[in-house]
Amino acid sequence: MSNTIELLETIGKDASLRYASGESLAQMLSGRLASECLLSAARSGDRGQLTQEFGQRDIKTSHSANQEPVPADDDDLGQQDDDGRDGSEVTEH
Amino acid sequence: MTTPVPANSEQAGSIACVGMGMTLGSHLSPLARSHIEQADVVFAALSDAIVELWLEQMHPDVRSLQPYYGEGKSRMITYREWVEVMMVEVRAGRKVCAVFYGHPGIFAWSPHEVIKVARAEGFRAHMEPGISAEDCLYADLGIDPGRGGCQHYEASQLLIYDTPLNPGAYLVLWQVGLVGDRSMKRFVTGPEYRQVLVDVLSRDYPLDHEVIIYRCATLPIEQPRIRHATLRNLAATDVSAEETVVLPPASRLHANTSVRERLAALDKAWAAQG
Repeated sequence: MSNTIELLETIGKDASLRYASGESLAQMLSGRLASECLLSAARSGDRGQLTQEFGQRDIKTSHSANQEPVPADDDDLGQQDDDGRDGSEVTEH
Repeated sequence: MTTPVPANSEQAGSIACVGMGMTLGSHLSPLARSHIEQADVVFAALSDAIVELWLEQMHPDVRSLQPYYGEGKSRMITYREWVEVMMVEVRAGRKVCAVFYGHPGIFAWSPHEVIKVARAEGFRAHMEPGISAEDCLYADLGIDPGRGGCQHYEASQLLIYDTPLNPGAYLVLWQVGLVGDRSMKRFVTGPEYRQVLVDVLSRDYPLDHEVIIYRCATLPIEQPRIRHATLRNLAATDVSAEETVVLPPASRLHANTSVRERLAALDKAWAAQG
């Protein structure tokens, strides 16, 4: 597993590898004792092939709020808004 | 803008919120990596379980913030819990690094909040930018936000608040996959919610207007996912929480004749002085 992570990092930071064809990547990886899962994933460009090695874990990606937060002791955000004080808490760039 | 607390009034603990970038191995800045490696404890809010494993190779004490999410639990509660668990370590005098995918300050509530809280309590707090999904979008879709302008919204905001749009500029909508969720307890909403979004957008855009559905690569063996649809079909098109919807401009820029005349007069006066 750690070798796979290291090889992914190697690909990610190497300009000649990051956009290489699947076959080129697989050729490079086969010389570096890559797992069958990584070889297959690199060849196809399909991360799903790595599930067998790392398992399937649900990751939530939402970090933002779409409404102005109410005080900490009130968790029902759906009940407030539209009083002219809106100004969302979604952070700007 | 919040003014940092002067160094001589700071307490021992500190926090740095850093961005991991979007693609494993490609985007993490040397400075963000240094923050991670020099921290006493690292918290992680990342978009990919494999990227989280990569982070764990950089530090022996990485604590995922994922377990704080819960089905039927408001994300606002989760975000506040994140702030609190990070502040517990800061108050204990530890050097804390909080790692968020992309850029820690973009569409992320708790990094800004924890910095605000830490500074208010006299601790050193800092944000280190990262390469965001927005940055990747510009590169992968060939969009220059400087040409005609670009507006970004969390998709639900367009429904919850009366939001004027500029159809002459690009429109980038985030979190369309859960658009219309007022409870902040859901992680996905269905086509009927996207139809409300379509109806709101159709006030400014024709129904046959192009929409682009974009997801950047998180692993370096992947390529960005780019799909095309029409606004009419957006409701019937599955959109995941990780995907972003882009509407190209629907109209050309309009000349502002009166301001142009005013500028011309200024130009004339400036030329006469020279």
